[in-house]
Amino acid sequence: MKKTRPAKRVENKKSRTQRLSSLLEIPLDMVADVPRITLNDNRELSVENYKSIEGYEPDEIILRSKNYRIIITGKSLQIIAITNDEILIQGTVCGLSFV
Amino acid sequence: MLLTRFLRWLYGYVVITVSGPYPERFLSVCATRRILIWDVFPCGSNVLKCHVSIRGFRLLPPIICKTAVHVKIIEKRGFPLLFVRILKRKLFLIGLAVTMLSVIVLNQFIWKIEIVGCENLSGAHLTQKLSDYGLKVGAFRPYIDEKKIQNRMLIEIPELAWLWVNKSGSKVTVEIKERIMPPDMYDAGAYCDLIAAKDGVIHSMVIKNGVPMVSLGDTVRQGDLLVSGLILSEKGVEPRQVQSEGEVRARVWYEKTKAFSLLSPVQNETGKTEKKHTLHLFGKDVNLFHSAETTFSDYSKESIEKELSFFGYYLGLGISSTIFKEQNITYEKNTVESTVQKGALELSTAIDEETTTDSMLKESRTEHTVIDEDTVLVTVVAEYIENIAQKNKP
Repeated sequence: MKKTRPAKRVENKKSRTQRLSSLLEIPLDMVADVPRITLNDNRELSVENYKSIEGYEPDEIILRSKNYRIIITGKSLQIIAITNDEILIQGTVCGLSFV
Repeated sequence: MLLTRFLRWLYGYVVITVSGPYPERFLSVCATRRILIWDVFPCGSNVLKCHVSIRGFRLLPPIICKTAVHVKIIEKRGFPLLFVRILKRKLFLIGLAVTMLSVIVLNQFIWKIEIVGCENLSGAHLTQKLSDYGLKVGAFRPYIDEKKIQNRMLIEIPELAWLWVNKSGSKVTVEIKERIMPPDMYDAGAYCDLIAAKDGVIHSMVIKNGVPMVSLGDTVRQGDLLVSGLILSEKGVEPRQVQSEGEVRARVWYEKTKAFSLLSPVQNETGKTEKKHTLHLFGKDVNLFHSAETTFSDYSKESIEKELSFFGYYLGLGISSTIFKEQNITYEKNTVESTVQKGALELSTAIDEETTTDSMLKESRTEHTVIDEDTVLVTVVAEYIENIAQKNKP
């Protein structure tokens, strides 16, 4: 029960850093530790500020970020490069979902 | 992207498969420990194929233990691994060292001498003289003293105004400049006559010294006395001997006849070519083909020479290729007029070469007779006015 409470607060209310960024008009990804997802066409996807990889199959990649999971579905997905804070995926991206 | 691929190749990398219950975890741990992994692709269930740098691969064992995966090396790629493979081939390395050593050693000798700027002097004479002072094919390069050669050559050969010896690798370029020699001294005291050098009719005379023996309009034959250097006096003074001098211009006729064929050869290339290569190895020519000559009967020849040089440094190696192009000669029939015109031009040029430089063309006439259907006889008669006086010591 203790664990779910802060997650709920994030969903409903803006966090302190989010409020700060909107007040100072600074891009959110610069102050808050949130993932930044860049999609070029549906061929190349890069995710910054992810935490870890939870699953990897040619048609599905599951990434763990701070507050939720990012599920990337597609065809022949390939991890081109992987570093501690960025991951570059190539292939045909069909869907993105956050759970 | 190309640069990163090159850098990866330069540092070397291995292709591995990671198998285990959670190979994704292995990737995550590698990422947090800053081990570079790229081109990950799943092959089969719970098996990943990925590329990792050699430096990263050395850091893998603790991660493998921690994540309980099994890692198998599929392939090693890159420069360091290639280098290791070459190091294992001892004979290859020895051969490489011997080759490099021999090139360096043989480079210490002169393999080619080029003489630039030869006009009247013969190249063979210069080469002979140069070899007398140690500059010859096969000479040891450090022993060649350019300054000494330069000085000795300039003293020995008076026709030389300037000489420069240029060493670049195994090739020596000798640049020379020839001196314009002073004209022969005029000996005022010598006694001589003027005689006719050619047959002709006297047109004009300017006598500076001596007694004219012919008058205007006279016909003279070759060798006739024109101006005498012996001055005889009528008043009993002793005869004087002078050097005759003057200009005697005469009308001289030239006639040239030659038969010309109406058929002129036309060369057509058949498209067949043959290439013959010759290797120049440290002053020696090595034919790369059994015979250096071609099997074609009619051909045109073209030669290309290439020298192996290292930053403008001739290495004593070169290759020359000769390209033989086969030709098919057919004959084309020209009209009589064009053949006569061409023939007349050829004959006039030939006549012009026989006359002296200060001669003047006065009249020229061309005649032709057709001998048979393929041949025409062309005659050119030209009249020149030229100086026929020639000094002659009696």
